[in-house]
Amino acid sequence: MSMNDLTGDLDLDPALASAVLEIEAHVAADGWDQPARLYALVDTAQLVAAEPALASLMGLDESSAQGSLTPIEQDQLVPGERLEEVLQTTAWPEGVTGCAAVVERLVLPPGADGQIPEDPVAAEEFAREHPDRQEVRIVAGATRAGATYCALRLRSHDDDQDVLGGADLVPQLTQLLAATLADDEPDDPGGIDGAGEPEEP
Amino acid sequence: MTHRTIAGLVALPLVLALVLVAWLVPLPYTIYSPGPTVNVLGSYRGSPIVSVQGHKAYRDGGELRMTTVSETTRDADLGLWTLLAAWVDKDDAIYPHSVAYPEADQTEKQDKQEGAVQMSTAQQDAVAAALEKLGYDVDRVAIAQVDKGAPASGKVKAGDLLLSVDGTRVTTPEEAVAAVQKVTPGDPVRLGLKRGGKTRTATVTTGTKKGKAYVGVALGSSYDFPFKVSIGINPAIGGPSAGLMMALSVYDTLTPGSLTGGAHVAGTGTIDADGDVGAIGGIQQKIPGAMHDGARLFLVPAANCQDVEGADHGDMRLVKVSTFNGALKAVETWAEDHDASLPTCGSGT
Repeated sequence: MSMNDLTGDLDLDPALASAVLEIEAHVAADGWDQPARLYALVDTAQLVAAEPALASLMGLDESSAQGSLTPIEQDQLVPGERLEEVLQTTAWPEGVTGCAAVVERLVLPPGADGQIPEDPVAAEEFAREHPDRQEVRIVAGATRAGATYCALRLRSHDDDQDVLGGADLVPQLTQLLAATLADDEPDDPGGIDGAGEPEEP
Repeated sequence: MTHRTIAGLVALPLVLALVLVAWLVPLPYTIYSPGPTVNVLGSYRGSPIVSVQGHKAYRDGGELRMTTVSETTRDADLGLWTLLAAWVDKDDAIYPHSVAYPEADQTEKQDKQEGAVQMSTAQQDAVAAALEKLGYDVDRVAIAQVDKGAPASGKVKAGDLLLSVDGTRVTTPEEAVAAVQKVTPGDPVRLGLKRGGKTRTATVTTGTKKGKAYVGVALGSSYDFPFKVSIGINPAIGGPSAGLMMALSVYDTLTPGSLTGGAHVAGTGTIDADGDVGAIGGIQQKIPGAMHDGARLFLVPAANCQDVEGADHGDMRLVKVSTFNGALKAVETWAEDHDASLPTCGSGT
């Protein structure tokens, strides 16, 4: 597994980063032109306790579980369905600590902004024809605690050593993921008596 | 997990899973790439960079190159595409803003001012270190910058030495600040200055800032030298990291013969008046920049050794330096014999 964290991203959640990189390596083995995928991230220790048989099948035990997250792939998304739309209608049960998504995207240079056709099919064609396009596979993850992590692989530099990792690389996607984890309860900032949840440091 | 598909969504062919995004929102990252190098023994706009008055200058060839890093500004709009392009360029590096610009509230203009102050200070420290090695000394305080429209504007110039405040001698920037703050805000203060070797007094009516008197100048450590050495580098270049190369250049200019034996040397590192060499940023970008510009030997601050691991430096040698004396010795040894054994950061130099 490659670990090309951007120097100095010290406030990373290592469990999330390692889960995202694990997914990245797994997905990379299947090559390109894959549909989008969605994963639940569950606390491995809780998984071992709740599903001992499954855990043992996966080769997990108490010692390997300490502080790590296990990705569980969700049913394949309907082909053609936009991940962004799926995420808007997704919510997770309580036992899920975080989630991660994999998407392949074409990224265009800043100058292309105004020239992209509005029609999605024409836009896609435009992007595919663009000489400076970057084809990139994005694995992004978020946790309920607010940590985010992304791993990016370029099709033009498809090598484990060239995977780029960082907390803020694709904020649009990590925000969507984080929103699926948000509590739908009415906001109660700080609690009635002012002794709410302790803030993250 | 509740997960429902949107009603009426038409299943599109699989190929459309690969959807275009422009994703141009600015991302909180900074790109470092190799910047220009400058031969400090050379010229800027037709004049020698190291100019000396009152002492013989020996212009005898060779190159001592300071190296720079081009850094995207804190306000630069870097989209994902730009970051990816930098990522695949092996000479570039990407850093989170929190690392490249640790002072979160500072503005781009303040970054530039900070860089200018650091450069001005580094130049003075470099001259001091070189002259110290040649047997001179003496501490003073320098005006690094005069704020536009400040009380001192027009009366005090960047580069002036500040000798005294209301007749009391000051020898450090801290003493000078304390002395000005003793004045009742709005009252005049007498600043003893030295400009172009001549002493003068400027009377400045103080302004008020946070209830204290101020004159609106930035101060740096400086030195009253027995003769004038100035370093005229392109003012667009800021920061402290050229200290060592400037000190070597001043030393070389003041001594007969070429320190490098006519060869091309580059490097980086801060320096203080005691000759201690300190760590700098962006060495991974400075090494390719130096190679590109023909350097055969590169001086690496000892404290940056772990950063050069795996750096592609071709057949340019990397030498570890921690003091001005050590750097001089390394360059002299190398000048005599390019294959001589030199202090290194570890393997592979």
